[in-house]
Amino acid sequence: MPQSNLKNIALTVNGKEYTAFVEPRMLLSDVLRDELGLTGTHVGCEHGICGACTVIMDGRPVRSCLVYGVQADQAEVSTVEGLADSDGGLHPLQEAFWEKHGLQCGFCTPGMLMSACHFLEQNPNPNREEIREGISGNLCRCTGYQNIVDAVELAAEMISKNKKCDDESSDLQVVQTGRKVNV
Amino acid sequence: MKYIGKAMKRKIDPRLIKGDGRYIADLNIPGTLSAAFLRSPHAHARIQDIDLEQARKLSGVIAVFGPDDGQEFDSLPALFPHPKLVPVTQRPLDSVVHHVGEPVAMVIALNRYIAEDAIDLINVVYDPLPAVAHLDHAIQSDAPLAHQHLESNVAAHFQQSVGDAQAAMKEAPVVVHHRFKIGRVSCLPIETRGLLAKWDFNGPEPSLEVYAATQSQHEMRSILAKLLKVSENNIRVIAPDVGGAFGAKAIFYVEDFLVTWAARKVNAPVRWIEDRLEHMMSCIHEREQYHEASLGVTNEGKILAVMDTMLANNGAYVPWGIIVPIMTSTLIPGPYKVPNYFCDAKVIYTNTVPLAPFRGAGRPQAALILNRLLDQAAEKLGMDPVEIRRRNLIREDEFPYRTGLLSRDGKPQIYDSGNYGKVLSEAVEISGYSEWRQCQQEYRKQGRYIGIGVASAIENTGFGSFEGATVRVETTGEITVLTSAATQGQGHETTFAQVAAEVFDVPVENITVREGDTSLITYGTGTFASRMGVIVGTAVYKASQTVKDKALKIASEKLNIPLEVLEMKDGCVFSVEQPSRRISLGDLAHEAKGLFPGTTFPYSVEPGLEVTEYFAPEAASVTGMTDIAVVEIDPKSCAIQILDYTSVHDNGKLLNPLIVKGQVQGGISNGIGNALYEEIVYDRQGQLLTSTLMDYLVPSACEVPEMKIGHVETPSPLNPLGMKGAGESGTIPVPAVIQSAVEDALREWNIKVENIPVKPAQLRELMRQSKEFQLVEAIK
Repeated sequence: MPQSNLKNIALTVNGKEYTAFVEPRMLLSDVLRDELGLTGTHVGCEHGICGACTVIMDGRPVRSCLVYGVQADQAEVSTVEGLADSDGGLHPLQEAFWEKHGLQCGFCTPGMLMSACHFLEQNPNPNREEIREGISGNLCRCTGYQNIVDAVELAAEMISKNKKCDDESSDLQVVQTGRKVNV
Repeated sequence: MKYIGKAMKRKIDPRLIKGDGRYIADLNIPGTLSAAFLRSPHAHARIQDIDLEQARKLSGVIAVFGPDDGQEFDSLPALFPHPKLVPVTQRPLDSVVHHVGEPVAMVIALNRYIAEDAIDLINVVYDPLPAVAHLDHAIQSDAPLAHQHLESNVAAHFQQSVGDAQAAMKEAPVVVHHRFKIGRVSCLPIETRGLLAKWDFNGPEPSLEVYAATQSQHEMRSILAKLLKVSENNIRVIAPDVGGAFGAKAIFYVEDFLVTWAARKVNAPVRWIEDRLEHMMSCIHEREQYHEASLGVTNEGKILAVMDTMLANNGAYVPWGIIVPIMTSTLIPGPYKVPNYFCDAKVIYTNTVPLAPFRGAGRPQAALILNRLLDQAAEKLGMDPVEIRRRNLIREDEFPYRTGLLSRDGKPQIYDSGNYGKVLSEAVEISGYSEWRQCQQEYRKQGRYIGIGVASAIENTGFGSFEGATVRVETTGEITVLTSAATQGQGHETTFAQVAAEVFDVPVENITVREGDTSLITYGTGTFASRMGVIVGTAVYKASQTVKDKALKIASEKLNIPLEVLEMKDGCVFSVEQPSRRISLGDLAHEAKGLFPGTTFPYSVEPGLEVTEYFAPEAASVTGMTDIAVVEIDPKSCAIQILDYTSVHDNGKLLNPLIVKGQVQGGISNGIGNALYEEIVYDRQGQLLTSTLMDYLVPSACEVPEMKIGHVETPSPLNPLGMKGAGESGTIPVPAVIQSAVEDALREWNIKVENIPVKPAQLRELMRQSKEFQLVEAIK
């Protein structure tokens, strides 16, 4: 590919600004993984079905294997690496996935977490059926989903309690385990 | 027990949930090149001409290899030979291709984009040969041959027999028949296959490091050594984090050889990551079998005889022997007492992707056959399906139970232990079976069609031959466990730590488990056949015991206290009589290393607080399970909805119930896909029609139901902890229980559901035919 065809892009990923010089055909998933070194986003099917590569772009979940890097120019992107606090404090969803055994091989997990994170923002108090619908764009071959549904349910509860204790400035224990969803 | 049997959260999770996993595609080794393969669009063809020059000229391409290079390659070794099998194994870059998707050429380039561009520049002239893909076609006398050098498409023809089934069937007062057409599925781990090969030419001999998404690093090392003609001593295979496998990654594939071979040729690290299209057309499939089966019972529903004729599709090559049809043929009797049994099995070559074990490995097919025949018999006798099963299950007091068949290892098949009646009763209880039967009648009055299915099955788990573990106490007091296991999500790092923690009485946090690396331990076999917990778990247990004994001896000599009054707890050895007289595990590890160079080793044991033990079980430990499913069918659209799902398993003594439950749930979801959604379809000429996840339907969270899981624990006498395997059992009864429930729901139409997967379109057709038939009968 001649140098002249390369495009400069600038994007914000997990609050940090990056620039990259990429071919127009390079997928966002490859930009994240190969150019920015953020290998937490996994690629499972490369045709937009499995959902493993799901990231949040400008507030919406996208399959990063179906988005070109150049389309993410000037965009704000959140990936699994941005879920935990900078000091390593886990996001309630991460806590809940660990607690409920919501992952086995862990390959679909980053995409699943990002979808669930966006879903809980849209629907903070979902029932189990809504959770199933909410994560139905992400395939998991290991768990049979039940523990993932349990985990999202628990995370919703943790987040809502956290919000409540933010309001009431009490119950520090929950504040410690939960971190406000912010993607 | 303090640690074994506890539902402990997994040690590995914090890394994986933060996106810090390290899968093959994530490895960052400078200078790594990318490989891509050109794959055959034909099911059977001779390569007449191939032009690699345009591809070689593309900027960024390092090398292109084709059939000319393939001439020097050996065929893959034939694993699991069988006296009745005519084995054909794959030859890398052969000039004749035998299925769509077989590699024809390989490009090595700076990155995958360029490698795939180069693939497009390769011109091939194929001479297409007649191809055969479907079982019913392949067995015809004038069918094309899948391999031109063979006389027929029959890869193997064998029988299993107990008693005199034919005679007993003639005598049976009630005989029922059923046909089964079981479709083909893909293992489909969400991480595809992949490996990275890196040679080092600076040592005394060339050495190879391979990072591979494999279930079986030791097997891969031994096959690579053979094919590359390099000593095993100079090959290290590492399986880092592996994103699911389910059988797909137990096989050694031609790509595994080609990538390592190419890395040597181009003198640079080379990585290949399979894409999903390649996965569908080149990674093993399973399940496809046709059966015609009969069951003879007494008027009381007691089994007299079972006869089965099996056709099993083998695909184009034999990567793993004929394990799958052997497993099916030896497990059709399953948990039931079958005094007379006969199975005639033909394994057939076709121009399709090879079939080899996928989670369940021939057992879901076996479970389907007798359970469904029992349904027919119960119907004929007016008996409840649960009752006819109860009357035929092997009783608790009949173990160890000899079936009269030979196991896959050639030894008499003996079930070590079990309590199938209790498993069935628990399932009936948990599912609310009786209540659902009442509901069924109520719903029918409202025009709703509810069906209830029941299936009991077994799994022979924890096959040999062996696995090993090294257990070491570090001078910090921490314990290191090195095993021959490989994980693809089973949580070994937690369960094996629980085993060692139990022996040493130290917290699980103080134990580090390492696996998936041939440099950790000399020998090993791999993660398949639900065997890691049983075999590696026992090796860890035995090695831990031996290290503990050694530590106690050193402590006894060091503290001058008799062994009998010493105890190990919380990382220390102390005198029961005077607990202040104590020594820590770390100090004992230090003692075991000896004092200074030149001094005499002071203890009566061998130096080093480290022991390696291998465990070779004398036979498989057999698990039992019963599933009960309730489905509702919309009579107009024939859409099938699962209303209730119960699964009760006896996996022996559980190491970690949280993890076992996860394994069972995952297995059931694979089974649901198998039973209702997933099917790899080829046309008659061997063209793959389901090459994407748009065509091949993997169940999402909306298709997999809520599952009620129960456990019965019957310890196995074959290992000290009483363990049985748990990795695959979830998948096994699902196709049987779903097919059973669907047929039950449509009882009014009097149809026989013979297909797996069960699809609404088939049901509609069956119902239409049944109505027409009834109409014709009425007119008559």
